[in-house]
Amino acid sequence: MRKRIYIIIITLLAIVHYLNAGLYVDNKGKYGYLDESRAIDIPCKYDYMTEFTEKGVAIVQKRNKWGCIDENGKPVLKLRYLYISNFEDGFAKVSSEDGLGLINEEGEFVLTTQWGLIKPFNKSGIAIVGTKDGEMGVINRKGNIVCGLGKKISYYDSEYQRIDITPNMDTVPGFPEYFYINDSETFYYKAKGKFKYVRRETLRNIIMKAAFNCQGTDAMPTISGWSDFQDGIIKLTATVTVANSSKIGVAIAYYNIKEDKTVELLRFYKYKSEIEKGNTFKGTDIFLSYKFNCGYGCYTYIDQQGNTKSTIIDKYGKRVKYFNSAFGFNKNGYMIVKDSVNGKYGVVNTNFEYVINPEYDDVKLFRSEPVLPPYGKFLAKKDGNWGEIDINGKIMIPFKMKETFYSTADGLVGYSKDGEKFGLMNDNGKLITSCKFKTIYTSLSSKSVCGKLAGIGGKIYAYNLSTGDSTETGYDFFYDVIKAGNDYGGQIFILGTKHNNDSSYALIDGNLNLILDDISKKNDAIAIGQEIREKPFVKMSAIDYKRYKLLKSSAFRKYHTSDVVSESDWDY
Amino acid sequence: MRKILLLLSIVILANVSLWGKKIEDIDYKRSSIYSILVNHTDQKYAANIRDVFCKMPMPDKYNEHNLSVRILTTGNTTPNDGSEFLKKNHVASRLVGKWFNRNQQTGECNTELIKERGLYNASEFDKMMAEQIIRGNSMLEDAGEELIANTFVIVNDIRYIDAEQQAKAGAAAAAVFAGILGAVTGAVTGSRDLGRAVTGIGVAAAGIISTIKGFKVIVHTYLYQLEWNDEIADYFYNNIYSAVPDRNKVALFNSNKDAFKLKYIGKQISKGRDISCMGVNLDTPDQMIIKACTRAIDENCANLAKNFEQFKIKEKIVTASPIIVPIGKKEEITENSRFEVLEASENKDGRVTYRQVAIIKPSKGLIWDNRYMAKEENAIGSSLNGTSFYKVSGGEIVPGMLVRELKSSKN
Repeated sequence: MRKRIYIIIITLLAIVHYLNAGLYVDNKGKYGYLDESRAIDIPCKYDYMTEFTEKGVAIVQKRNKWGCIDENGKPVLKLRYLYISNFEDGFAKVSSEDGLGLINEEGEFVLTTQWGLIKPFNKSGIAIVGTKDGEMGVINRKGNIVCGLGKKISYYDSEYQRIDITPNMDTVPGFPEYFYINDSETFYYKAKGKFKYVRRETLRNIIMKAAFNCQGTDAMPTISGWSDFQDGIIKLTATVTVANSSKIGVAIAYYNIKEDKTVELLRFYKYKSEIEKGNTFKGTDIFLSYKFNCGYGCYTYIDQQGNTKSTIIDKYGKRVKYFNSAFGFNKNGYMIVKDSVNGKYGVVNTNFEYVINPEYDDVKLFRSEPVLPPYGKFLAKKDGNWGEIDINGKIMIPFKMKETFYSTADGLVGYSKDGEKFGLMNDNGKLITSCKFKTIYTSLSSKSVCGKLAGIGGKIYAYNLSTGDSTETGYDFFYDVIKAGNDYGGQIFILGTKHNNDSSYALIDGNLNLILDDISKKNDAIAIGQEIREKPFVKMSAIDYKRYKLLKSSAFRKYHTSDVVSESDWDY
Repeated sequence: MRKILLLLSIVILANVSLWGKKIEDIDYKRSSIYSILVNHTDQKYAANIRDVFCKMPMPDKYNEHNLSVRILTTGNTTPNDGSEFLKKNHVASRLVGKWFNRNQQTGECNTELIKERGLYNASEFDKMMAEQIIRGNSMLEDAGEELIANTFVIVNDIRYIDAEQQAKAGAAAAAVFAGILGAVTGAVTGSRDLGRAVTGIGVAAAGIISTIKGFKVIVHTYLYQLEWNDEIADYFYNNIYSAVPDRNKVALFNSNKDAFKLKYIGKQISKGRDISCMGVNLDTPDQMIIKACTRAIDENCANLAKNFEQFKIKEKIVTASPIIVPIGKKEEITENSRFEVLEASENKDGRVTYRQVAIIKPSKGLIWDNRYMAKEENAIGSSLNGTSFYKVSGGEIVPGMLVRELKSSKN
């Protein structure tokens, strides 16, 4: 009896080597499945098996043939395929003699095995597929082709390197449900869960016809990209040269792409559509337009008399209001305008009622934003002095300053009482530094700034806003500031010309630590700052920098197998 | 009955502890590689091969030890082993320089890279170097043996195989062969039909070859090892290594670079295998080129590792039941491969020793395909994340143990 019990115990322990979440392997290496309730009991007979999907399907392999079974052990896909990959994002790739296919978690074919290329689905629920002959297309998660075959598009390979094939497929920043294919000039978008499209040619012809009374092959328009979508409306800007008629101009139009993919032109404006060839064209300098917000679009133009004019249009393209100048509505429904009667600046709401009366001579927006920032503060000039107010008319910085500017640091305001020496305040008017800088350079965080101290030589001082410490950098000029990660205190300053040596540049971080100096070229300093800005802080010596440069350059340079390479090309 | 229960408890406890037992992880030290391309400039796709070479991933079982010069050219059609270049340019001394981050101008050195790759206790290592304790220091000896002495140069001579030319040559050969065979059979049988049929096969074969959509390369990989022994180490630490600028040591290093040498180990020639175009966009030649070149170099590295003891890699066992190890087809593993399982232990001086505890073989049909872009083509086993093994002989195997391929494998 004892012997029998021993044998049973030892056998049991020997058989079940591996018991983890139902999947187990016997001592012959065969896979089976047994869940805790014994509702699923697949004996150990497969050479390989995966966990069951949420839909109750597992991938199995036996004698080098792959298939799928359900929780009863019945075949969902027969053991006849060359290979089935693990499920990822709800799909598994199936290989057969004919090509690649795709199954869903229920084991159903979404794409039959006839393809040469199947890329993973992106966030928009589309994936790029290719035939074995190299024709490309786009499918949705149901396997339907939403973008026809024959179109060759770009994708990212396993190393996340973009493979450039024309035409390119791009998504609209911030709007993953929209993407367009450059070469075919087709704009795809999702409406009610379905992919729809509109051809850019359609939009172009509309704008061409409306703006220049021509269309088709006699025109050579350059559409300067799609704007992002706002309120379901796209803004399209085109620079157009019309052949044989000496016409050139910029046109702007607002379109409403409807769910039934028809396109409705809301409004267009053209700027000097009949400029003679040879004239200097400065359309982008003088033409402003704003994307839709709170149901209104806005475009600003110079009229034939040279005056600035702004027009507000509604969602139906109807012109609803005019101002001497308007900045476009922000998301909260406020807009800075220049009153058509007194020529002063104020703020209106979406009912075009003044919430701040038009009594300011000039305004400045934070970071040169196109519209009033959401928190509603802005610098304004009144009676010759600058100050800051908010959307409720509350004075944040009193109107006593000869000059003010927004630093690119969050909330910092540069100010000067005499117009010569500058200091800094936060945007609640709290003093950060007194007016002692001859120049203050814009910075990207509120931790430190660079400036030239008034009256103390000409050197750049780095000023730590937290401690009030200022450090002479030894450099004469400030060139640039790069937004950087926390390791760099949020920013990297690029300074140059050390002690009258005109070939010396340095990188200093937002905590005022020297990252790298003795860089011989300004562009190199900017390039290296850009490259390391998001990487962990690594203090780099000049010799490391030289090696870094060599690795970047010499690695691609060719040397003959019998060459003695110059020492300067070797890093060690 | 009590005895039975007691016995049962002991057996179960013993097994439970066995399931959960893990040896303390001991990280092994990887070999370091400097990889060079010999580019045949007069050949088709030479520029493409050159462009992709610097983008190719370093074989992931090795540490990158590249110097700034990576691409050599030759107009010669014969393979070049790079030995002339390596010697003329004192590459061995530069590899040593890189290990110690040596400043060419001032001679200053440090041991940051050794500490990083050797996983040494940083403060102890610094103290040891500062005190100039050279002899009899196990940590330094270990660094020498396990790291610096395992520095390799691989010179990859890559040449494009012109499939079209080969197809034409193949077709011509097949046609000649078929013609002769046809004539002979015709003479024997008195019929020309069979001859025609054979000629037809020749043309069909050529047709198949000529329609291969793929890019084929043949790669000669030459392996060199940095010589590093007690004598060289003593010379370096006593005469060259300096934590501060030292002109005399710079002068000595520059005048005596031949004190450091590379030793030729052997070569490997890839088989110029056809690379599947599945998962590859056929409109991007560079993608096919990088796939073909990477796979050929990986194949050569794997075969060099099989053939030369000093270049062998070790890898950790991830799970013990089933036995899964993250190596696969890239390492040229086949169903006939055999591996020894090694138990690593660290002595009181911190040196690692290995003891064989078992022999294992890959399970049929469960070899991981970890070759470059295998996942894109959905190659068999590409999503396994490791190869499954079964034990042929030996004792207990637990996760964390290392495996090393046995040379006697028949592949």
